[in-house]
Amino acid sequence: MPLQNSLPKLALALIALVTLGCARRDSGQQVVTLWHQMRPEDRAVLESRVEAFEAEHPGVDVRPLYKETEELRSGLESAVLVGHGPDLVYGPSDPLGVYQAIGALRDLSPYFEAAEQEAFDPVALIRLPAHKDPTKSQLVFVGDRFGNHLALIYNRKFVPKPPETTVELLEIAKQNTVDEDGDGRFERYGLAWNYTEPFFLVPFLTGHGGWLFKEPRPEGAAEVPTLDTPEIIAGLRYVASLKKAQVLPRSADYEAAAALFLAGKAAMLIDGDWSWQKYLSEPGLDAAIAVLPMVSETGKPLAPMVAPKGYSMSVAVSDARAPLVAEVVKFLTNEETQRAFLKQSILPSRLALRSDPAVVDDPTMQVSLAQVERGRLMPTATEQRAVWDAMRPHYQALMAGEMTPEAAAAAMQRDAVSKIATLTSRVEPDATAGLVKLLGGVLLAGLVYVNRRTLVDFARDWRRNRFAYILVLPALAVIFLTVIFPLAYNVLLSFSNMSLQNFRDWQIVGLHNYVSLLTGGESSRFWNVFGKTLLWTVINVSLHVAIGVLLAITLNGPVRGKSLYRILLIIPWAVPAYITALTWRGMFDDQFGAVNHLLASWGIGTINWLTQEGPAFAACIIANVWLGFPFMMMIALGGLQGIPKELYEAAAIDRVSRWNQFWHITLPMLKPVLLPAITLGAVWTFNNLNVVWLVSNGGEPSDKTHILVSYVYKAVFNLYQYGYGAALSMVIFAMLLTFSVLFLGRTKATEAVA
Amino acid sequence: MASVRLRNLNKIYPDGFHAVKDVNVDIADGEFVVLVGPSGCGKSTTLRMIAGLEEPSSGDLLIGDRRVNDLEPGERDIAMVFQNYALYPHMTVRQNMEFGLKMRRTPKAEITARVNEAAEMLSITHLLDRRPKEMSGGQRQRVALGRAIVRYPAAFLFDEPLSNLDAKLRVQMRTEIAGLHQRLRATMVYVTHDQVEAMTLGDRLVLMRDGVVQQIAPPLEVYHKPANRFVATFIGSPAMNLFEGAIHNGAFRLKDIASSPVPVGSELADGTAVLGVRPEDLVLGAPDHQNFVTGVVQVVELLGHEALLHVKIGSQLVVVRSAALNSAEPGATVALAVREGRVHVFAGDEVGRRLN
Amino acid sequence: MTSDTPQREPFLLTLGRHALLLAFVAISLWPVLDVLAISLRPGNRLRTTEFELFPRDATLASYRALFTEQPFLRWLGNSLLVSTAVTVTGVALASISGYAFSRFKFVGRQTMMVSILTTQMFPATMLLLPLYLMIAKLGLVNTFVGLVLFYVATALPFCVWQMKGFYDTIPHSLEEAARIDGCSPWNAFTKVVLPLAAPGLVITALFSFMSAWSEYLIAAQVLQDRELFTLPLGLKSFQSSMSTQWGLYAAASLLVSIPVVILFMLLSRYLVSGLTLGSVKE
Ligand SMILES: Nc1ncnc2c1ncn2[C@@H]1O[C@H](COP(=O)(O)OP(=O)(O)OP(=O)(O)O)[C@@H](O)[C@H]1O
Ligand SMILES: [Mg+2]
Repeated sequence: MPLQNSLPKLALALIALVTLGCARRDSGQQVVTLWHQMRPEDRAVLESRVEAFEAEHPGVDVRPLYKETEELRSGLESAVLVGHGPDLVYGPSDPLGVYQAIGALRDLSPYFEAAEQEAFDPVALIRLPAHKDPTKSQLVFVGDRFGNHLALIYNRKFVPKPPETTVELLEIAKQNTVDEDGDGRFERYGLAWNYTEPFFLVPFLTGHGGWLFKEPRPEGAAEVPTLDTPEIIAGLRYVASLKKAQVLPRSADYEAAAALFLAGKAAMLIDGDWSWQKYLSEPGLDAAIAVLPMVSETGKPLAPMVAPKGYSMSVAVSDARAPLVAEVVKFLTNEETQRAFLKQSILPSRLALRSDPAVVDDPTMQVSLAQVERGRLMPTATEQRAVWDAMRPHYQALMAGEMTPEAAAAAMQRDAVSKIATLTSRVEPDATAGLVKLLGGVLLAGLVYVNRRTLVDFARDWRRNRFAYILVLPALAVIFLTVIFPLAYNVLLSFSNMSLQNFRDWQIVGLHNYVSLLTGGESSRFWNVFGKTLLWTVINVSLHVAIGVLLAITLNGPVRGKSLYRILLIIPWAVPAYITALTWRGMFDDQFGAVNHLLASWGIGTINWLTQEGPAFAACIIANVWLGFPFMMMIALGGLQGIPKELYEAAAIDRVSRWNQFWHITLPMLKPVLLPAITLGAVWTFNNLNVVWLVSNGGEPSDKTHILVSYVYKAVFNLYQYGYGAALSMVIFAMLLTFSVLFLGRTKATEAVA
Repeated sequence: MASVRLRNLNKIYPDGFHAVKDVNVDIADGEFVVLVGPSGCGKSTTLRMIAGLEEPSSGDLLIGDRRVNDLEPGERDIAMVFQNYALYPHMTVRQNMEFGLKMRRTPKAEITARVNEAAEMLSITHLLDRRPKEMSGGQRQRVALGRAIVRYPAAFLFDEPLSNLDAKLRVQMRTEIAGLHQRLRATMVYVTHDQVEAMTLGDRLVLMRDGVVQQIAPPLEVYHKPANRFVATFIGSPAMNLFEGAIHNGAFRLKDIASSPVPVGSELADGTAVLGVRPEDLVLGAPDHQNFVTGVVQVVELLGHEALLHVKIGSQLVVVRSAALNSAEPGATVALAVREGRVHVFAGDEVGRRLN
Repeated sequence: MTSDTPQREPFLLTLGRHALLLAFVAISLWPVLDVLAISLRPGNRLRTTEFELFPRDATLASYRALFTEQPFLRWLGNSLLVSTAVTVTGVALASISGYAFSRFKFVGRQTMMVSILTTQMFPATMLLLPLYLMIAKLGLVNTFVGLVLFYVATALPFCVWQMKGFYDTIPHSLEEAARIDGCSPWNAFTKVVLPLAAPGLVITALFSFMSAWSEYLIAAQVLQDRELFTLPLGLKSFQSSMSTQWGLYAAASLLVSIPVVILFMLLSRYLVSGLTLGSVKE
């Protein structure tokens, strides 16, 4: 076979290419890496400013790189742990508390003289107590802009003059909620916004006099959440009353709300400054921006959260490089840079620019400025994350009409208190710590002892089966060398107290994580999610196999056009899942999704898929079955080729029915080929974070749509419980291992078929 | 061509099963030896050790004058034909036949010549460009033979090559293999559990049971002088009738049933023994014979020119082969006599060694 | 191929086959057509409130932008390089070790087989932090070698098992025949067994290719230079919280799937080659 002869050559050429591909032009340039979270439209401006900087500073190469929030954080984490990571990070100010808590940031104050600082809006420069020394204050953030604030966007075709009070808001909304064709479903809604993120709830709370935290913050203690106050309840009641007045769509996430407004199906929309250009520039849509109205009862404005965005320097930067990196920060926050961004309707952080004609003459900028002035500064405290986490499910339940404002407020408060406690708790080594260390040692020694016979056998066997050992060695080496460190690290972490409080100085604390996992307050939740995960796995894998084998058998018969069918059927596997999962979410939309449309046209009632526990879970399963059946089909198709035709001919002569042929010939013959796919398919499905996460948008509704991995992910990354997460993943590992060993043992899959 | 010699060959599988026990066989150059025995007796194992596909646990294996224990199968200069043909499905017939020669770096011209010659010999020239799956079972087996022939090996090994073919094809292929042997005069070792194949093909048979060789002899000798009770019943169809009894003064007498003594030779010692008589050596009683025993006919199978009578003697059923013309009716009582000098006497113990 | 000649079948059965296949084709294509619609829609809209397969204001602007404003071709090149390297290494390693697992009874065989599975059982998201620490320590940041190594390691367990499964269906007598024909164990494997495991090779190749082609998490740890991005990374860079460039994202997603479909078209011939058919009779 010519292919076989050319394989080694091909491999060599590839290795050469791969090695070449990473030989980067390291021509003695000073490289400054910048991980940012600029919106796509702003990235071009950033690039041009970076070029300008590089022109002024020959020999410096600034490399901006867009990173999503979690990646930005993990980059900083590794900067702390191994001194390798981005030099600069750019983003909104809210995660600063976390960055500082793990000691990821460097003080910028030596590079910004007092006079220089005067030029900035004071809230754009953020100082925090030093990581190890709370008495010292450090400049950890230099903002170049303000924003991230919500305002009201309205369609001038329906709303000539924006509402100034909440009474007017309701009035206008009511007028604009219309059922034109009288089919009982509204063609247009008065108002829409995102029901899934509590960020969108905040203006209603502040307008009624509420705030998330007790003010001022208690000295030297954690922030205290105030989510169950009369003011908060009043805010929630107002939102509920809008929902009850039916001026809002039944369900809406961010994209759905935007789609409604863009299609002229919502008269007003609440959305952030990042999105305004989109609405203003949409052809055929006469949109305008207004500040959010005043609450009629309290006389207070609906005040959105406002945050500066800006630069922080990571600890990966050495003392020697710090001045240069600071130079980059200075350049990217200077007047010229900020002026360049003005064209994007971005509010500058430099006071001098506020009177620039580009600001003064632009009505959108003026509204934006007015809204910022009414806004509340987004806290940088680490507790904010816990509070978002506590609010989200209950906000969603409130919007779905499944919770009263009072109950929602109480639940938010309760969860916030417990989550903050988790976040700020410090775990010290307990009695089991020594035990764990000791047991670890004993276990290793024991393993070696128990296996010493095997080792002897192995040495003996080496002579007889040398060929076999040589064949398996390369694969084993590649597999284990790359995973052994991460796995071992994970095992250690699972016994440790690594968390926000002990990020760098973590130590083995014993069985604490396992104990709290299996018996703690969340344990009943754990078993619930575990049950769901089992269900998820079993249903998915069975359907994958059933559909895959069915299609493969159908395709393997005498069908015209089978190669075309084959290709069309493989498509769900070929298109990246991260987009198709999202389109599935769209297809399950209550009002505009294709699935409900189809159900309705068949005369079956529509289902509110994404806002109810059962249907949301079903939606995830349907999407995942869709994603997974082609691969199984492919494997079954391959497996079918190994079945000699004579078997069927003989069976046909014996008048064996097709069903029995399938059951007694096809399936047993497919077994060796299907078994690995089923076993690993089950493992992958069990651990498939993506689909659940994307279709349910991170566990909606109200964190009820979770499987173990998404649960771990949320628990760990929202509250930084690395140790707990590691323990959970050990438990998942143990379960999967048990399953696999039992399953493989039963099916004798490891046996060679003689 | 070469001789094949097995010296104290043993095979103990890794699971501890002792499949072949101390086998000694000398196969002469050009000889056709058939390994025969019931299923699981170790025939294939023995053959596979000769081929080098199993490693002997102990003992020596010689092909020609070379000890080949440590040689790779490919270095032993043998060819093998498998029960399931084992044709390479991804190669055409020609490529299948060429493969072994190519591996041995035979010159191209010679390869072509040899393949054409073998194809001619087996009348498969028109199949040379087909793939295995496009042929019938008989054709595949022919190709498998061809693949062996082109190699001009020192010895041919066959492992039940015909057992997947239907009865008619089997007979045809059997003759062909016999013809092949006469033509090539090659050393051949042939495994089967079909005694007709064994009898018709072999210059000598090696009878095995539970890993132990029972008898090595030419087919007729095995038939007429089986070495023990097992061989006696294994070879011949219908099987030899066995009667339990005892020898007294050179004559055999049935146990528990009235019978007249059968003379077996005065040199045999007194004691329990088993008398073996082939169905064709039992004759329906006639006045001029001294009858051995009487029984009742149960079933009569008419086979055309002859008939098989199943006769009940005491609690035992015996089979008698007789001419179709002078057979009896079911239910009739018949007297049976034994052809003189055609009796086999075996020891009455487990093994049942031949005594006469 | 004889297997392609339509046998006579009851008309109803043929009809049933086509009905089933067509139904699943519709289900397969539906969400993808939705992606197509997004890619053609102007103004970065993920959702619409209309049911239209083909947007009225359809534009190819996103596709144009991919090639003119974004380094899409560069990403494509990087991805092709990485995925091909992973496929070649993965298939090579899996095909030889799967063979050993299928054919030889060596000490520790079962333990090894199960233990390579265990590496798949940890939730990947939990391993990212240590993985990044390791990459940084070993100096593998921004190298394709590191990335390829990780991809091969993650793809191998399935590939090894799959190949083992396919070898199990190939009769031993074929190798024995080859050995007698003068092959060394290695030659018997490469010249006789390997070609017969073609469907398995196709599946492992597609799987390895795909696992590198669509992988995002590990790539995001290793590659931190836009020039070195693979396609998933490039794709993801169109996405940001609440202001994703859906048009580019969808257009790129569809383009990304084209090489996969082409690869499948090329390889599926071998997937259904049916070579072992009729080789032997059990
Ligand atoms: N790999 C093995 N491990 C253990 N025992 C084996 C192995 N191969 C064969 N045996 C046993 O060795 C004995 C002899 O097997 P062999 O295949 O030689 O029988 P055979 O005489 O060829 O039978 P048949 O006529 O059924 O082919 C059988 O009992 C069989 O179960
Ligand atoms: Mg046998």
